[in-house]
Amino acid sequence: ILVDWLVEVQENFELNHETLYLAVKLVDTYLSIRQVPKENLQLVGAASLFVACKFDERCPPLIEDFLYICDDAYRRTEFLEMERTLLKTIGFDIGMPLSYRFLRRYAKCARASMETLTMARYILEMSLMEYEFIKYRESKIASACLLLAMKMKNAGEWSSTLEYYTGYTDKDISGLVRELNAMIACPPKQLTTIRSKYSHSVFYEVAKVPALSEEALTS
Amino acid sequence: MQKYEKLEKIGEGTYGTVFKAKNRETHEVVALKRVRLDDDDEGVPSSALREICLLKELKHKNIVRLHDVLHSEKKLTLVFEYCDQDLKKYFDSCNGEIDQDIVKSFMYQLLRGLAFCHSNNVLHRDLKPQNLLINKNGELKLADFGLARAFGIPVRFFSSEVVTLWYRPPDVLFGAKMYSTSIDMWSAGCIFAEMTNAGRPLFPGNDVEDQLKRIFKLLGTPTEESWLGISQLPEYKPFPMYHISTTWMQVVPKLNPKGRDLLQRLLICNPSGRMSAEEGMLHQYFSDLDPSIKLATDNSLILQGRS
Repeated sequence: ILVDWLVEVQENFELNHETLYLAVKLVDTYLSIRQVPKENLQLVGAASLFVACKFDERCPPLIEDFLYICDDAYRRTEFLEMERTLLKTIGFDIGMPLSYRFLRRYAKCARASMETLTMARYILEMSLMEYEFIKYRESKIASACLLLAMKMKNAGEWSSTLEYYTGYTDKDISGLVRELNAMIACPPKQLTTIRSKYSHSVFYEVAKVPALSEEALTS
Repeated sequence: MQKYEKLEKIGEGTYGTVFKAKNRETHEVVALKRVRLDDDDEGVPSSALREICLLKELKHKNIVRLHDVLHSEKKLTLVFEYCDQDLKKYFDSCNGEIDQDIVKSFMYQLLRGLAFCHSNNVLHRDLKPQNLLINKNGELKLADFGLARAFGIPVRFFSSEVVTLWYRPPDVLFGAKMYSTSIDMWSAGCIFAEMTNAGRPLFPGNDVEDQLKRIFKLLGTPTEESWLGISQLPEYKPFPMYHISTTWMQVVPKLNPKGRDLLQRLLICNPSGRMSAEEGMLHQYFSDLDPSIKLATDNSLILQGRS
């Protein structure tokens, strides 16, 4: 739910995708170390996005904007304190590698079309909402999203070039590809922000491409 | 501040005041960079965020070491290793005379620090004598990563009022947005020339146009032939073909021919032709460098294992 909201904010503020991925990563890292009561989850999310913006954006939005998007549920001092706690907890390590960047790199290696890349980005962004994908390496999940997108778009095979640059063979990631395919086959009903975003024509309406059948997956 | 005893103010960094201080327990002398955090500010400044994040990973003897970060409600304090002075102050103290062996040693260390940054995908982007620190042992360290970026992300330069133009390469002066490690190599060349001249800046331009004019008067105006794509740069303006009246001998009289060769390979207008830090370290100019400086091996090279 939090990620769904973060995507919405990312769209509204017109932030880079990198910023969104970094924010989600910060939230995940923070929550893996600390317990947070439900009513403060949004604060963690907003503070993470705030830090991610400052790290990556040329003109980050102001604190006021963040307080506003939280419906003024938190005070300015609470927000600043959360920023402090967040940075302390994660030890200022915010330059983590991001699946989004791996994906861009791999797509370039594969000379994938913009449409295939967008398809892969949609799958990757959907995966941000699911806890079960946290355990995978950023590079692995990026590879699997690309392979699934290539299959869905009939855009060729996992070539030796890709094997070389990603370090994964198609066998290594086939299990993950299957999981991801199952994820987009039955997306969460209530959380529609990402799906509607990627149903737009600028994103080639990739969210409308059906998931693969069992035969297509194994071929 | 319990842990550290403040001794004296050293200076003002890009975003905070710097103090010399002593650790009360270990008596180790450190430099504290203190950023005030007011309630109406935007929390931790982005330049501090980036500097901390990058310096935490860049552990090398030619890069200033970040020991600790103290973060309270009212201020953020970065604890750095202490260095006696920066290169600019060092110039002031040499009264126009500088030992060319020291220049060689500093230049080598500058290239080594840069090679380490670049191999870790970090651009410094704001190299200048004030950002190079020197300690009693003649060690040189890169500092002030407030403008540094992990690369791969194109970012527009800060406005010219903030960052000095003197060390900025022609491609960036023409508004190039996609720059790379070559940006730091140009600055290194400018600093090299300045060092051999004991602190006289090579291209002390007053504005962007004057800066480019000074560069082209020494190096010749680049053309589409010498630099493919130059006229496509966002802020490209044609410059006259200046008659080159000064020789390198006149520009850097104290520098030996090998040194002049290295300098000319760094100061190349076309960024793709500029020498890299790693290549620079292997240049003939350093063949007679004191082996103890060269040998100090990269034992501190710590690359974190990440996916």
